[in-house]
Amino acid sequence: MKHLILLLIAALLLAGCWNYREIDNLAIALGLAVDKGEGDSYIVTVEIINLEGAGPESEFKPTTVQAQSDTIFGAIRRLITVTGKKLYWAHAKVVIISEEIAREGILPILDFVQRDAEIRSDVWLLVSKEETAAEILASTPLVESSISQQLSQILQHHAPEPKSIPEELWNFMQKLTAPGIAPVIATVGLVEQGEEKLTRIKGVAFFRRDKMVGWLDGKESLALSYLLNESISGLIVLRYEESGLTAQITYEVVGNKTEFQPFIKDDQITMGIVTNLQVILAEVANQKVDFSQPSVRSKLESDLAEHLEELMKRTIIKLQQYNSDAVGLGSVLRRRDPEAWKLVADDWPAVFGSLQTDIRVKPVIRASALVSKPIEMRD
Amino acid sequence: MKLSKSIEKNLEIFQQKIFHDDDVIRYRRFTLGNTQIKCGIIFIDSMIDKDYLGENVISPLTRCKSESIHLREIYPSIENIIAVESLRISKGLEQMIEGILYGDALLLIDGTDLGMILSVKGWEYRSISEPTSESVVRGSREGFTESIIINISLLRRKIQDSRLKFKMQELGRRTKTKIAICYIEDLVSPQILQEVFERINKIDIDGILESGYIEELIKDSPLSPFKTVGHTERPDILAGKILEGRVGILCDGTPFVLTVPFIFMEGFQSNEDYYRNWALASLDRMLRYVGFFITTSTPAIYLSLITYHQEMIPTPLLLSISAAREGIPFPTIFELIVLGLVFEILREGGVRLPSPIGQALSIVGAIVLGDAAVTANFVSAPMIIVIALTGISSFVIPQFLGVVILIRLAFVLFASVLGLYGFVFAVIGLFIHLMSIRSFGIPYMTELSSYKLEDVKDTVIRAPWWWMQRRPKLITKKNRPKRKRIEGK
Amino acid sequence: MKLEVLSEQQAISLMVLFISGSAVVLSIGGQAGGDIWLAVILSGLLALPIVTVYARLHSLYPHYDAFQIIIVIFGNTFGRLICLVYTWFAFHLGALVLRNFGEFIITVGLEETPQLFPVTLFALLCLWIVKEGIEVLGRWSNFFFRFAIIIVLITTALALPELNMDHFRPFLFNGIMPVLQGTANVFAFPFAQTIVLWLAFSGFQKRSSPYRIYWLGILMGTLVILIITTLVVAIIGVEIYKHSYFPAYIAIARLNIADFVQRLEIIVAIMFIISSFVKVSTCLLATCKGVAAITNFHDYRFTVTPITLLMISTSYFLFDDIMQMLFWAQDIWPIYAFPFQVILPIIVLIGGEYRAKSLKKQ
Repeated sequence: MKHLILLLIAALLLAGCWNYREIDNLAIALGLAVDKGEGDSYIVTVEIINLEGAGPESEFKPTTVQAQSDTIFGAIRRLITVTGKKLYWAHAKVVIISEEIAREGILPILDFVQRDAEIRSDVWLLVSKEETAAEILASTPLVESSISQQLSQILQHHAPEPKSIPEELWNFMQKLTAPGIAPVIATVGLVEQGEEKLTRIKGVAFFRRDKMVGWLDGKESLALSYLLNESISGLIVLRYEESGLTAQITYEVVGNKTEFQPFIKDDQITMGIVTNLQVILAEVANQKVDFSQPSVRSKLESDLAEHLEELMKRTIIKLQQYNSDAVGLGSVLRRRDPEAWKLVADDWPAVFGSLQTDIRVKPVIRASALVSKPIEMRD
Repeated sequence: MKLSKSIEKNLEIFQQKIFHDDDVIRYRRFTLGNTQIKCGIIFIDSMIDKDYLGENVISPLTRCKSESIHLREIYPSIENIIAVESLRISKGLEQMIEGILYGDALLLIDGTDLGMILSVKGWEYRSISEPTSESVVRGSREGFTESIIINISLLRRKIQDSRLKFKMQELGRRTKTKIAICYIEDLVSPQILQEVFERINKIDIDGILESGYIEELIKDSPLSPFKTVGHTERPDILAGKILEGRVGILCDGTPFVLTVPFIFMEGFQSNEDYYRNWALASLDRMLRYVGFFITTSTPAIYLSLITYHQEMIPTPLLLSISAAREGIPFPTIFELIVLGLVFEILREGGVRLPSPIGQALSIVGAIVLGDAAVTANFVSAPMIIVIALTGISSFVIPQFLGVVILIRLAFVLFASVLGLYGFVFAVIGLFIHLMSIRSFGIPYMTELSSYKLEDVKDTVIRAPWWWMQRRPKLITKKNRPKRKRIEGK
Repeated sequence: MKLEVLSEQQAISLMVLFISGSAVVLSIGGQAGGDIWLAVILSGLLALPIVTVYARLHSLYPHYDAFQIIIVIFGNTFGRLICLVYTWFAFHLGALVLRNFGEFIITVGLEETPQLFPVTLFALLCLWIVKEGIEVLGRWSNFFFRFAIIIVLITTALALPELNMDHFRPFLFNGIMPVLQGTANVFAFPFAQTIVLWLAFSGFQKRSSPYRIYWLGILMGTLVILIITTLVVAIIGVEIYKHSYFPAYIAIARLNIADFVQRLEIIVAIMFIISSFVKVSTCLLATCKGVAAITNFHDYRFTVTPITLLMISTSYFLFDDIMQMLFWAQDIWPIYAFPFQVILPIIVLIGGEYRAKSLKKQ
């Protein structure tokens, strides 16, 4: 016993502190933007937290640093010569990739991000709609203290206004490796507001393997979200017309569930898609629309169904043009009919391109917010 | 040396040989009633009740009639004259000396070589007062005193059972300290009792001034910082422990009574738990376990988080800690150990100082360290919070106040080389140690390492009395029901 | 020497922690793909008859420990030879688990720390508890068992929103063969490794049945492994499960409850440290008892220190890197361990039954 204790103490004292690192010796990286440089090189832009002042009065200001090299790892190492501290990646929130790199294939970047044990797999991926990815990091954060945190906040709270499909790194990797589904990444752009440039996340870039092949706009990505069974809300504004009565109606989706059923007939696969929606009437601009009437409600429901069916159809056709199965119909087939899947698995992208789909949307108006009848105005 | 039949010679032996040069011994000579028999009384001034001695011994003896005294059997005949409730006739010189030193008076009569030891003790002692080391909101306000006789009476008054036994012994070659081993005959486990006697009989020391001496001499795993012998200043706690089948060791000269065996979870029990609503008491108990965890582990966890596992801190918190540490010249581990040390110095200082100065000390400590050090950028504010939290939490488990400091330090050292992994290693080590020590044959972690519902009832929670029907299993193996099962329940 | 005995609870906790051992972090039974849960259940069932063999031997010879039983059955020479084989097996397994532990620590946490340092520290803790004896180990496991259970329950609760049951569909996509492969894999590691427990146990308290201990241990161990593998696959999917060294670690890293409860990987690490501590200690204990039995000493304690040091260095020289280690654990181990884990125990049982019968006749 005594020897053991002595041995332990000696071991502790003799040991260096290999992994010991003081928090104030780290440059905390919050965001990474990767652009294409001249030739084969990469330009890497990193947003780090910079502390000003000391002790209780110190405050942090985000700054960006940039370096260029043939590999991403090389570029990031080069950054130490700028910051003087080792970059610490565990708190990185976003990785922004320029369109050019995304179209070339993002595997080199993912490889770096995955290999480096520090970067966490819940980092958000974004594709820049602007010319470079670095611009995004240079824009102005409005609410949070840094642009990366701001973007992370926006992506996290996207559910009430789902104009895009946020994907974390691990989710992207999972879709990349799983059979019968293609990944997507949300896109980010800039809008000008007065002097300042603000970020806006809208739409998605869809991929085939690791190469980006096309864009979906905000509405289309909403349709894709429903197809992917993302748990989101979402507003849909439609014009109501019935016997001379017109009104702008805002539907708020409060529940969505999409079910798939593959049918096989004469070696031709048809995918039956049924989307059940629960909606509430969030805003009815004309009081004369009496939504307490069953007939009016069924008209409202069929309007919505028609609109969404058309939107989903359009989205799927767009994806089919690029042979990118972002809906994951292949994985559905694999689950529901493994034998059929085995036959088509090898050239699934091509099969997907010519797949027949039968889309049904079944909305149910569940309640109308807090009012049961339109407001009646009296003189 | 033996006494002779002549009183003058005998007195001389005492005066010249045994107690020579001792000024507090008093020798009183008188004659027995109207006979001419010479008598002498030897006693120590201030250890006897003088009025009592005068009224009940000297006065009746000087006034007695000669016909009531038989010269042949002089001691038995004066037994009825002396009005002292306890006396004994003794032949041995040793016994007589001991009696005198313990506050008895020795009566010598001419013509015999015997002496009579009269119990006329009457020294001053502290009256029963509220114990300061263990205060309660609800519960008895009595505390043990320094007198073993009073302490025994306090315990007897709580347990009026003829099966409650006291075994008196003397310990300490010079101090001759009286100790009493007490237990309830049909509850105590014979093995434990035998072990207690064996260990106590092995003690060979010249002085026992406090029960702490005995504690250290009979303790298992002497190298372990954990205490395996309990102590208390409250009769109600002692009574409770004895009713669970434990053995109590009272020691003259100190209000602290030892209880054995002492197991780990006793450190988390308080007598008040049993007097209060069981749900609230259970909550308090869990708080104590949480307090133990916080006080031992917070510094190590904080250290590993901010020097090894920065990824585990939520980003906003990381940024503010990082801001607080900006410009601090010392490494975190240094900051932690020094601040911890300062806290312990403040605590130790506060304990020994008279309370008015103690308050001044804590104010100085709080202001100088808490505020000035942070403003001067010597230490970071989060560190102050950690140390303060650690310190405060240690006060909920007064039984382990000392040992938690050691545990904390070990945890911090391990955490400083391997982060949380090192911390987990240290925890594993701590538990290997805890699991391997025993207290009088009882594993230290008994009941905390068991799943039987019956064993959990008085550990992490304090179950209601109507539910606790049995005494702890390992401590007492016989007579386990605490109460009779009510029919129909 | 007094036989050191365990209570039923202690033995079961020890067994469950032993089974969870390194299995909680390594990817086991990946061959079965989405049907891994089936492979785990099957291999648990398969392990039941094997542990029944150990239990039967315990009840045939209640006053002996495993090595003594072997020597009693097969006599001094041949019995010692079998003891030697088993001593090697326990030693080798201990070194493997130790290495596995070292790789885990430096891969997920302390990249810059030399592996030998945490491994030595860890092995010293094992040394300590083995010196204290199996009773302390039993009490220790019993105490930490509840933490393991709490950890499993909390992680399960936290993981519920992240589970994606699609990873398990379709059922038997590649037919039954991969499932059987997975079963063989999970059976060999960790279930059949319980042989080392048999070697380390020295006896149980009165009135406890060795059958109940082994069966309950296997069942609860199966449950733990089942919960963990299912959770992990449901979170990260089959592909990542197969291709990562420590899938449980990756899976738990995904959990994020309201942005506050997140980054919980350390929980996996703690669970792993606790259970591999039990596993290495058990192996070490079995090795030391084996050496003592072979050399005819009554107390094994004097062998603990040298054997620990030997185990540390063996674990260090066993493999070049983590890839080799994984190859061993997944591909070679089932074949290598089969004779130790299945064939030999059956031979011992047959010998034991015969010997017991002939003793009765006399």
